Amino acid sequence: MQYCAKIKDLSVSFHGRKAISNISTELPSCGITVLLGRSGSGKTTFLRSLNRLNEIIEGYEGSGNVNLFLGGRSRDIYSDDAPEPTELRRRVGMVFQTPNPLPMSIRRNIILPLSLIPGSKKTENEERMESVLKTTGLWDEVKDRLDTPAGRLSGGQQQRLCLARILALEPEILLLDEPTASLDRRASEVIEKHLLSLKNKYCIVMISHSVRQALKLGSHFIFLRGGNIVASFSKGELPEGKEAENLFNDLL
Amino acid sequence: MNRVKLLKILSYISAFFVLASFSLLIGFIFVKGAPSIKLSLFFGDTNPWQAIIGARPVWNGIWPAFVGTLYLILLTMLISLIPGIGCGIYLARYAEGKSKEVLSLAVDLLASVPSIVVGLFGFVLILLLRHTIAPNATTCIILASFCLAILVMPALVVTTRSSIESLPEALLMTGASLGFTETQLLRHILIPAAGKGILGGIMLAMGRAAEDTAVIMLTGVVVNSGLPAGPTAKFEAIPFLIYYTSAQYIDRDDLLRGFGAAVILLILSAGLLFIASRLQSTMEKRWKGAK
Ligand SMILES: Nc1ncnc2c1ncn2[C@@H]1O[C@H](COP(=O)(O)OP(=O)(O)OP(=O)(O)O)[C@@H](O)[C@H]1O
Ligand SMILES: [Mg+2]
Repeated sequence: MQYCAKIKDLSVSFHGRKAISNISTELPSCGITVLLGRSGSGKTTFLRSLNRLNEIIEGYEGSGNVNLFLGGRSRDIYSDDAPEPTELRRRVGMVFQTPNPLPMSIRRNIILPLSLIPGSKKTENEERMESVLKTTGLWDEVKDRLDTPAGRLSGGQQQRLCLARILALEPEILLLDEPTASLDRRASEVIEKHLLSLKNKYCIVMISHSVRQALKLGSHFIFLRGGNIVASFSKGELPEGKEAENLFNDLL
Repeated sequence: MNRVKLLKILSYISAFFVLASFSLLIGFIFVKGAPSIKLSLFFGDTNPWQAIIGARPVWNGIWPAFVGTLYLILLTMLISLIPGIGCGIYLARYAEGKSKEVLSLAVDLLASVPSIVVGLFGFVLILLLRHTIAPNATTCIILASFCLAILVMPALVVTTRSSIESLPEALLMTGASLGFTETQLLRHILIPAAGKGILGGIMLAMGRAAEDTAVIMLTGVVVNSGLPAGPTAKFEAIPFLIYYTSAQYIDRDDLLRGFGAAVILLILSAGLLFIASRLQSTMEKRWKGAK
């Protein structure tokens, strides 16, 4: 089996309080890995340790190894061999739990991060913007108001904009923190469909609060509780139908 | 319920109080000063065009003081803008621990120095220069601007710092997650997003530079020098002219000219504020990319 991430003895604490402790696990490179666990169990922290985003939080302390499969080889992202954190974060893109568009127009939200990459070209950026907006199903909804503030979009549209923004940076690994948390069922289904269509192109690690969604999208499952992994399965190991759902509910 | 009502009434009264004192002040000055606002207030008996191009001196008009004040504000901003805003950014984003504490204390202390003391400092500085490297040094417009810059710098530092620090934390997270470096984060997100607050500091600084009398009185302002002849020349300035007129006016007309000058000073600073805010809103529009 191919891995996109190998994590060994990972611990993270904020202001001396452990958020995750001694986690060791491996994330397969194909399909979607779903993290499940109660509120405060360390899911977001775990995700952030894959793109070194915990480090900018006050009171952070961490230890352990995270090896990511980037650019065709495995690299320990906390060692000297790793790309700079800023470059790493472009290659390991993250979409947050709550939509976080920048306080500017829809167009600038996507173009600004792109334009800061050395050697990027204006026309290419515009093309890429159009293509990612189409991928996330947003193009038809926003194509004639690209220059209006992104904050005027609905919650679900903003979430898809954030997804599009990160896709535009062409990451190799995608970290999604409850991408459908603030959406109704219909909007969730739209995003889920997009995720399934993306899963062969990217290594996706996502957090979900819904067992049903996890079972629908995931091919690998990790359960966190109090900062520890309490169980992990791949799709093949699960019982059929309703029983899998019951098993998951028991673990939460 | 009653407390809520009381609070509401109090806040209405306070708002009214501010508005009333503002209108009273502005109204009074305008009523007194407006009648004397004509070309001759500026240029006296001199042909305006020749006065503007500097071909002929103006003896009994406020034009030299007007230009002097304008130069003073521009030079002050030129000297103070970069260090003031830069120091605010440093305090908000880079400084840590002891050095942050010491620097913020220094800024607070500087903010509490009365302007007359800053003026004295400039005066002593010139004395020092005369006794050491520059025996011919004398008080002049560049010295006055330098001292004014010291006076207004704390306002720039504090407003820049607090407007950057009060930006939502999520903005930092978002920027970092998109691979922005610290410099890019500042340049493309934090500073533009804090633009309105920083502009507030600039307005405060310009206002102080425009009105301050104590500093310039000790650093080179004179009653009659004509247009400032260069950075090391003596100069006239409207606030000093107003001050001087109010103390030494000869007749009623003279006094009314003083009020006219006050109105002009108000209009001058309002104009500068207007330009600054237009500039800021244009830059903000560009940054947001909104049409
Ligand atoms: N920015 C932060 N500063 C300080 N402590 C934090 C921060 N983020 C998370 N923590 C702490 O880390 C622990 C795990 O939080 P985390 O956000 O990873 O949980 P989560 O599983 O994502 O929860 P939820 O489902 O509610 O999002 C919590 O105890 C929390 O207090
Ligand atoms: Mg979370």
